[in-house]
Amino acid sequence: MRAIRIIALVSWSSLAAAAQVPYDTLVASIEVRGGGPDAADALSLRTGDRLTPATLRQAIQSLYQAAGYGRIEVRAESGPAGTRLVFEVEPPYFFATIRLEPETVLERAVSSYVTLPYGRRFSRNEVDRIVDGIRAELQGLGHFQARVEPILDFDPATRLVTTTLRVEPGPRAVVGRIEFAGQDAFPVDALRDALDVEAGERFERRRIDERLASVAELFSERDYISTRLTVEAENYDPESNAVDVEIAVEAGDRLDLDVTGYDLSRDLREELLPFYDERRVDADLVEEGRRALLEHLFREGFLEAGVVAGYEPPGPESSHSVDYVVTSGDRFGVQEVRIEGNRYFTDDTLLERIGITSDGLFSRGVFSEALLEEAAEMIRQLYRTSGFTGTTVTAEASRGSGAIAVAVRIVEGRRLRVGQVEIAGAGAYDARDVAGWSGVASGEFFSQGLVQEGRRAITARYHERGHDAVRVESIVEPAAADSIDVTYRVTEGPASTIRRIFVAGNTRTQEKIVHRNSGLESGRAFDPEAILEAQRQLYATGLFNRVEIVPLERPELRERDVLIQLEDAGPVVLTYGVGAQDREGIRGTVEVTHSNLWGLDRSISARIRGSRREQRFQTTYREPRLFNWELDGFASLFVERARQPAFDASKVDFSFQSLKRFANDDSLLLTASYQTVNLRDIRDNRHTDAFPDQVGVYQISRVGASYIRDTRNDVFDPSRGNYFTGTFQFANRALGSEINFTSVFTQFSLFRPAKGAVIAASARFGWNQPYGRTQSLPITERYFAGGSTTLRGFSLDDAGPIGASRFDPDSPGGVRLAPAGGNALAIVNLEYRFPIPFLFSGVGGAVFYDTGTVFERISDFGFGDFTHTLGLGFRYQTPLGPIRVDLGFNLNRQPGESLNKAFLTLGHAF
Amino acid sequence: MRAWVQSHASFAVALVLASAGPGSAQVVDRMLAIVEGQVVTEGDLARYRALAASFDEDDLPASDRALLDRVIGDMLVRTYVARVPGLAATEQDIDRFLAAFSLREDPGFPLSAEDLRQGARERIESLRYFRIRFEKPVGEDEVQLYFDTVFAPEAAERGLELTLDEAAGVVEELVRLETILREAETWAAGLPERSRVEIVE
Repeated sequence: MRAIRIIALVSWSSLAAAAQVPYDTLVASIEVRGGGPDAADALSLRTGDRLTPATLRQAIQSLYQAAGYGRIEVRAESGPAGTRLVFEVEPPYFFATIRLEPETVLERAVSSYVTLPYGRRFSRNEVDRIVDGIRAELQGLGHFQARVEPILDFDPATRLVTTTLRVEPGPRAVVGRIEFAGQDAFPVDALRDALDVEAGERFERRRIDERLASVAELFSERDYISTRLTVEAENYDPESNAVDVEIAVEAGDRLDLDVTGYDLSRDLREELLPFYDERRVDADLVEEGRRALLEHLFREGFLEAGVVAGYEPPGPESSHSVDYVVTSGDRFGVQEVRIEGNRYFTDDTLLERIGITSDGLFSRGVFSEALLEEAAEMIRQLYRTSGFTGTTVTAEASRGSGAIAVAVRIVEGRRLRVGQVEIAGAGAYDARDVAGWSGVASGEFFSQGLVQEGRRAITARYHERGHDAVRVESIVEPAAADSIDVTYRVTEGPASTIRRIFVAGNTRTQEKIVHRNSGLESGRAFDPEAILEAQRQLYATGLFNRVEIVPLERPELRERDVLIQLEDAGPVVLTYGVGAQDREGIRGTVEVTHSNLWGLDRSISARIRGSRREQRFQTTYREPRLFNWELDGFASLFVERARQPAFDASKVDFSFQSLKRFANDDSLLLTASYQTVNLRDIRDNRHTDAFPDQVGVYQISRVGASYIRDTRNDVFDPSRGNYFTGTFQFANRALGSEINFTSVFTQFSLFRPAKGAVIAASARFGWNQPYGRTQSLPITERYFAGGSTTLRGFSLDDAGPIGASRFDPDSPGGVRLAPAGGNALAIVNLEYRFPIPFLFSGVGGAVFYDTGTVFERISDFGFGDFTHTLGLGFRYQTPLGPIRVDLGFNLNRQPGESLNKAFLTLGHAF
Repeated sequence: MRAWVQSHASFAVALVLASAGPGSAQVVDRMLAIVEGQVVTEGDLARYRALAASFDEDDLPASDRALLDRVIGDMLVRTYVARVPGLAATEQDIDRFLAAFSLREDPGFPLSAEDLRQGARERIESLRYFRIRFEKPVGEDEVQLYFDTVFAPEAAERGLELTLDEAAGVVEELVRLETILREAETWAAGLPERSRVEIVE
């Protein structure tokens, strides 16, 4: 009996546990747990409905569609009145930080190898995809036995998932056998030799891929065109830990190409002739190649050229044979490209758009009949999109003796105006307001550019109001005579705001720094442009290698959570460099910076710079928000020993600075500094009677302000924009200074593009004025001019007042005049920087004119005393600016001054 | 009486406790995945198994996850089928299809007549799509090879002796179908990567 009871107990338990779905019963009650108060309203199932597989499934579907739940479970309990249903729901989780453990198992962060689904709904298959991607990368490095285990950490408060991929790489495989399949042109050993990957060496897929180019070169040398080699299989044997590699070879067609009558380089052959892209040869492609070659000859100026093509298909063991016989004829240069009849567009605007150029210093110009037709059509199109109708454009070329003159004649038509501006689909806002946002007004001149700018403006205003999914289309239709109606059709989408902002992935930087720099706030409109700006601001801090700002994937919600996903950059940066400057010789620099002290965007750096004439140590601490204001604060200490042409000095300087950036281009710098100078050797001391302590130690304490406006497109090699700086300093005994003076310095530089070249100009003015008990300034506070960055007809500091002669073993004859410097400085530089295209890329030249000088005092200022230097230079571009060789000729040299000076240095003069 | 109650009380209590379980409400369905905005539930898997049983399909994967992948793949295939006009199965097509199978019932899931007809419709239309997309001419070599290695041995097991000439038409159709289904399987395996599929954890 006891046994029967036990059996019954077990059986009954089993029956009770088996969840038989009570289909075909009536629904007695429904409850939704975990959703909002209106969750049950979204259900398609109601009390009293019959429960069937279809109705139950539809109920789950309706709940998902209403709120995008991440988990939906249905519990059922049968009762006398029917079935009680409980729907248990949970909001979804979203992907946040995804990291490798250990971090260094791959060369770069995981985001470099697989697309990471930040902000997207969590799903298991996404995790599998990432794991598969990492595993594939590890196999590429030879870790075929790698194990990648995802560890998931779900945070119910934020609904974010942190994924850690725990990697055990396993042993690294070696190369086994390498087989080539699909060709018989070469013995396999020859291909293996070309591949240069040995059996037994460490397997690395990237290295094999790179070496395939060498194998392809073998085929190319035997006239095969566009040979393709791919790794078809990697067969790994776990017992030997070796990988056998199978490489598939598609040799391609063989081409015996002969071009006579014209020197066609290999690069040009591949660029012009279609066989290489098409990877085959046939009669049609031979004709296409002939036309391309002919067009090339026309553009090179051979306007009477002819090309005859010959083609023989291949035999069993032979190549395709293609011959091009070129008769080039006379070569013409484009003497002139003249545009007539244009009033609305300038010549430069029109010339930029046509492919025809006139001859220049290093070129004969570019012309062909095809280009002539294209030019006319481009100009017609330009007038049409700018709202003109009835414009006629004719382009003609006349040939003279060895030269072509191109004339483009334009008869401008009537200019159309905007008729009505209508808005369709703007439900959330007044249509008149939306029309105003476009900036397009009835009656103004029409152009496609204006309409598109209006479309962008409307889109931006909707974005500002949180309509991130807005779409704006523009439709233009001719209306009454000479006018065009513009309609903007708007599909608004819902407006949403930012609810919560999550920060993830930051292991060093504190969250408040992220929030402060992003500029995003809860409650603001969800504006995609603000999101982009936040990303830009966070990148600009330099604290992060990667910044992604994504909405958590719930576009149907009016309040949206935003995830700021970060990868911290390494905080410690070591930089070092070597430079050169005239008279200083070789100079080395080493700098160590920690850019994220305590995770608060504070930085400290230490720099050492040394040459045979100057040794300097500097350390700087930066506080990003001084006194919690939008001010950068700096505290800096430097110790320097310098051997200048006029004096030797040691300095210790301690300064405080605060920098306020007003916009991207404008900033204001306030400075307070205290400096101790030890003058040990002055080669010109013309003021010993007034300042007898000039040799020795003295202190200068000053405050100052600088305004900087910089719109240059590139700091190292600008081609457009302006640079302006103005500095005022004030030193006084009340501040602890031994000398009283004021100082004003200003510099303005401008850069303008000019048909591939750059026109650069700069003007500098400086004026120091001692006052009160101070009669003259120590030599360290005087201005000097001369050298590679000021007046290039003079050695460093040699322009301006000269002091007494003295023995100098470095100078010719052992004697030189020491410069004395002065209290006023005026320098103007003009330079024309141009590329030299027929040499290798990055090479350029310059022609320059420098004028100005240093005056002992401001009252001595006179244009008649200005020096004049004319020179030319050679430039070679590097990522840090140009290597520069300048030769300057002193046009109004005084007795004792050199006729010319040469300089080799890095970076522009200004 | 008292002795009877006392001797059975413990049994009765245990019985009640056993039948109570962790709450009386049992989980009867849950969302397993979302495919292009459509949910896939445990009920869908049960329906799939029941239809497979009805249509004598005995190649169902053993694990639930693999079955879920199969169901997801079929749903994605259906989205492609829906884009091609002219594939719709008629009622007569469905009747003929159903007539060919045993229509075994699965006690775990009550298939309605409409479920069966819908299952038949999906299968007919998918095969039509695969034929349009993946059908290729069948060579004589392939037919000969299939006859020698597969058809003839299986016929022999059933006590049939047929020559290639007698069975050529059938063999050719079988080869064609196998090729089509093989290509379709490869193609379908790549569909989830190009689609919005979310497996719920």
